[in-house]
Amino acid sequence: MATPDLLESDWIHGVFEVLREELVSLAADFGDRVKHEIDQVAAVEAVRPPSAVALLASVAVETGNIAGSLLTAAPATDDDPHDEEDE
Amino acid sequence: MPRAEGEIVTADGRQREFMTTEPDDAALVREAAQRGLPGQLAFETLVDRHQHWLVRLLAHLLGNQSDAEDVAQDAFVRAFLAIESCGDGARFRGWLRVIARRLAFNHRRDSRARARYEEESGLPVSLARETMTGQLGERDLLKRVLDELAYPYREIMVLRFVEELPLKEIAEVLEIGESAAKMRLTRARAEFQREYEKRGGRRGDTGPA
Repeated sequence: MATPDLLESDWIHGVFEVLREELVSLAADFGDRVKHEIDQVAAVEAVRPPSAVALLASVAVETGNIAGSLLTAAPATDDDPHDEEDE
Repeated sequence: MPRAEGEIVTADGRQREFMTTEPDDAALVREAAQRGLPGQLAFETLVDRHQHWLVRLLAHLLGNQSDAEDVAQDAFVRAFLAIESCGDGARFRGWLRVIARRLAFNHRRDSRARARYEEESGLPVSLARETMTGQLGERDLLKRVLDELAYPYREIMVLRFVEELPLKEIAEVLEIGESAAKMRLTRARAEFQREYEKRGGRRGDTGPA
């Protein structure tokens, strides 16, 4: 087993030298493609409300409140005990 | 590795001045995490700085330059989106390497599934492989042997012998324990040596195995 300090004397390390020295020729537009993609992602990020989660949560709470108020109000209108008392 | 501000790189004064004014990765990551246009520009500097080694790593993992560029692009976008979770910006390269390695693994898995589907469907698959290995040059032979290795072995051989990472960092990239990484590397070496010699590769006189 090679340890970092023995790497240089490892014969396999020598074999791989050809790959280490290999120059990578990126597609001419690679950097531009990446930056364009990041630009698009950043644009989407910018228009998204910063507190989207909080907004959704508040909508849910509000909806719950409306539903809750309807449920509690319903018995009072349909089955008003005061009506019976009046009768 | 990026140079920290103030580090003396060479005796050449001009290069030293350049190195001390160039923001290091940590500063760029901090800037990028602030978002906005300055943050985006800072991240684009990171792209310029790291694109070559990243594509090279991925090309060796995937065996294909075009796929490597696609995965590298994806890795950069994901890194941009998650830059706040980078933590120590000085280790941006290692963090990016983990992201890229995961994406390469997924990409390879999906490609294999596609190839299997094509094969089972009777669709044409990749070109017939060259069998005259005796005519291969050293570089092609090496790539052929890497192609033949099981992917976890290929991965660890590339990290060790192309990226020249110490075992500790290899374990971090592979998200496994150090002893597991050591065992995998031992097996990968043995498998590599077997395949390499089977195909006519000769051990150089560079030292002990």
